Amino acid sequence: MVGAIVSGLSAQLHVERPSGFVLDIALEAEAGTTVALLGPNGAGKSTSLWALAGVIALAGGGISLDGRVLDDPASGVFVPPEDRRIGALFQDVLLFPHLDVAGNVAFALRARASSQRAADREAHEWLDRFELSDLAAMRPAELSGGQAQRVGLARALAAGPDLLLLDEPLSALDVGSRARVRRMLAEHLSGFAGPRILITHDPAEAALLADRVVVVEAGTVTQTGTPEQILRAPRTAYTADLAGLNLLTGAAGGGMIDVGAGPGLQVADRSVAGEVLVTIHPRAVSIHPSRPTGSARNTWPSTITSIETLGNLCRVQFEHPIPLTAEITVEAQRSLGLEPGTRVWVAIKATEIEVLPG
Amino acid sequence: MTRGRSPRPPSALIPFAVFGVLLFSVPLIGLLVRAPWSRLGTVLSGPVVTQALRLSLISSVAAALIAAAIGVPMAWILARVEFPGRALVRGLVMLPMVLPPVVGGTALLYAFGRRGLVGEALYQATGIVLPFSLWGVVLANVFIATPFLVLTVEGALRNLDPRYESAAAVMGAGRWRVFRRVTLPMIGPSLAAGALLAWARALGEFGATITFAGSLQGRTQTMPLAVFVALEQDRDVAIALSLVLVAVSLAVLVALRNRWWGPS
Amino acid sequence: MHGPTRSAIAVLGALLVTAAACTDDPGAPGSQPLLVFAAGSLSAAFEELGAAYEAAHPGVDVQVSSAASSFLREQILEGAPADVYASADPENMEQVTEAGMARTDPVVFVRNVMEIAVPAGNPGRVTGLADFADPNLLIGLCAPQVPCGIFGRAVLEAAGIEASIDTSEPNVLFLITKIEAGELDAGLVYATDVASSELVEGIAIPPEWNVEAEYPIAVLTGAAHPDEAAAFVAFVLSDSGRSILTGYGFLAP
Repeated sequence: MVGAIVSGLSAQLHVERPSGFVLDIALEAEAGTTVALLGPNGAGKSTSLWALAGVIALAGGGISLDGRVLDDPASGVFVPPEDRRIGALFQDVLLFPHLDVAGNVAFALRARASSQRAADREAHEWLDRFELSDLAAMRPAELSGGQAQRVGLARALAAGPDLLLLDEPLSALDVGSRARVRRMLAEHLSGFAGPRILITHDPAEAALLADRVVVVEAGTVTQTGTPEQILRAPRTAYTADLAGLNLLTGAAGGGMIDVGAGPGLQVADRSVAGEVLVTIHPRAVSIHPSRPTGSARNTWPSTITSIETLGNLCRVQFEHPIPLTAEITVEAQRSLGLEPGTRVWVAIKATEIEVLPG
Repeated sequence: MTRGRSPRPPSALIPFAVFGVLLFSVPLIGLLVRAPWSRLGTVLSGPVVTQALRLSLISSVAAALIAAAIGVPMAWILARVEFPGRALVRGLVMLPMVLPPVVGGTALLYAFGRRGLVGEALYQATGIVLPFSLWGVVLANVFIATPFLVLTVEGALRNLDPRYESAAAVMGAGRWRVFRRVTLPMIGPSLAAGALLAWARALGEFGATITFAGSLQGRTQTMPLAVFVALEQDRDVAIALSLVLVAVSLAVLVALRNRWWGPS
Repeated sequence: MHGPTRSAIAVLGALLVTAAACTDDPGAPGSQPLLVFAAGSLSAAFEELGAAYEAAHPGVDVQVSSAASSFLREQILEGAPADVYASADPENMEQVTEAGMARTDPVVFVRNVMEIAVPAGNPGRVTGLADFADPNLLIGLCAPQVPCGIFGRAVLEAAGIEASIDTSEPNVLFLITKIEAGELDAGLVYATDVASSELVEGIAIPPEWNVEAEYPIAVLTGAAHPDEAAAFVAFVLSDSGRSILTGYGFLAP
């Protein structure tokens, strides 16, 4: 196969792993756009990344980048990883522990540079651009998570790749560094002309960074579209679960988030500040007939507006003071005697509130 | 290392550990007690000791370097490449660890001796005779010591997160550059530990050396061989020689411990 | 417990069980064997002597332990429970008697002479002691610390030859093995060693240069069966004992 897109990535990934896992997905990304590969753990996201990079060979399908065929088992074409001109910000960053920051960036440059010296010089220019010059002589073990991601991105972009792969760039970070790394990503991605593939299991990350989302489950594509389309019209249990997430915006400060109405939400991370996106899983919202005692610090009285039953689960909707959906079992609904109009107490543990810088 | 109180071992471990330490320390104390301290100077200043020590150091260091040169490629292939008979090849490479060294030396003789499978051709083509030469000593040491390095390095390669090497390839590094600049530095500490093990094993090597390379003062007689023949005649000399061997090895092992086994 | 650990323990356990099953039948309980310490060069001859003695004296178990005379001497001086000591030279025996470890006076029971050993076919075309000075030949002796090395050097000195030596082997077994393998062109060993090896040929040394080794035997004070030990020594000295020994190339005293 050769892709329809001349400028960008066109891939039909068919991979068979020794474990028996089979990946079979189509992936297209035009130049200048970011496509998120969204899926649960074990869906085949990392396999896709290594297949695009050429570390795992395809059993079928093909990959072409800007009209250049990188892998085509049918015709026997296989470009090895070192010749693909791909930049990647790997999961866990994978900075080489035995090289300092400058050495890590220079490593990516060395393959294209005329000499080690030229690579070193260019590496320092990149560090300047990423405001990392102070860290040039530091070892990866001495860096914070956010610093490591910045070095990783500099290393991925330094060699001027044709395709950029980003594997869970935010998931390992604490909320405070997420804001900085997200800003940095946004800033540098806008300057990157080629297609970008973002691999993530976090729908908020996909919504924030991607133009288009490809949902992967158990090795196959189950849905594609813009982040809004996917969340508005979920087509599988997994996307429905994602779509059912409580999504709130607010302003954070001092461990509290003001969502514009009702009491402020207490969160576990006190360092977060400014505009934030809050996600709360419906299962993390509990319903009590009277004021609950215990560790849930976010609790307030509310009135049920509607109840929707799906199999043995119920989705319970609240409008005021904060619009929320809770998910409980049918047995729980019956034993508590919950009906639309029932006055109850809603509770959410601080640790169940996911915060993403907006 | 972590600061503060060091952890307390489970009580059941203590008697075994103490017994172990005694097992290693008492024989050494025995040597020290029986050492001919008053004659030590005269015994050790003789040419036998200086020549044997020199040969021992040269041959053991050379053996460790050669073991690294051939052991790392073997370890890489054994750890990474799946091929039929891999288990057999690994067993073969590890065999010298269990083979009585004298048998190893005899096997070397039939392979690389003047009349050996390979040695005969070598002798006829070049006139080189490996037995009874320093090269013979080095070859015997390499044969006995290399498995220790292969074992250590293969373990390190298996424990190395393969994603680092894949990442290096994605960054444009060819296979050789990945090996040179990523794999090798990342297994560096294990390689050093393996080379040190190989060196230590080569330093004490006796059986294969005497069987393959013979023993001649100043040419092939290393410290262990000198100790062995000295035992026949004068135990004091043998003990004095052994003490030198112990002192040299302890000095090296203690000096390098910070480097390769972390501070202690 | 992890799988590999468990299987490693299982394999070791199986080996242990196999090893236990391989143990020899310990024989009649309470019967301690007659332990004979014999010099390395006597090893094969004494195995046959022991078997012949056992055949003539049912119920007696003769065990021969062979090593360099000097090692056996050290073991005796350290209190090894041997009944009989047969040394390849008078010096080692002397140290044992001086330490008061010999119950009976040592008796010389055989003599041995040195001989030039060359690999079968004599590839180095060695004709005599004069060839030992040839630097192009590979020449081996025993180490100067052991009897065969002392004797070998004495022979060369008597012949006035400055030998070009390539190795000094710690014992005669190491030396003869290298000659058998053809790695050495010639070496000086006991005539008995030449007689007992099919892979080497002997070249006699003229009597005026040759050295004679005398082999003494004695019962030890540590003997568990002094009477049986004395009877075994008498058997070694008897005509039938001597005929076994001369069969291995030893000379009558």
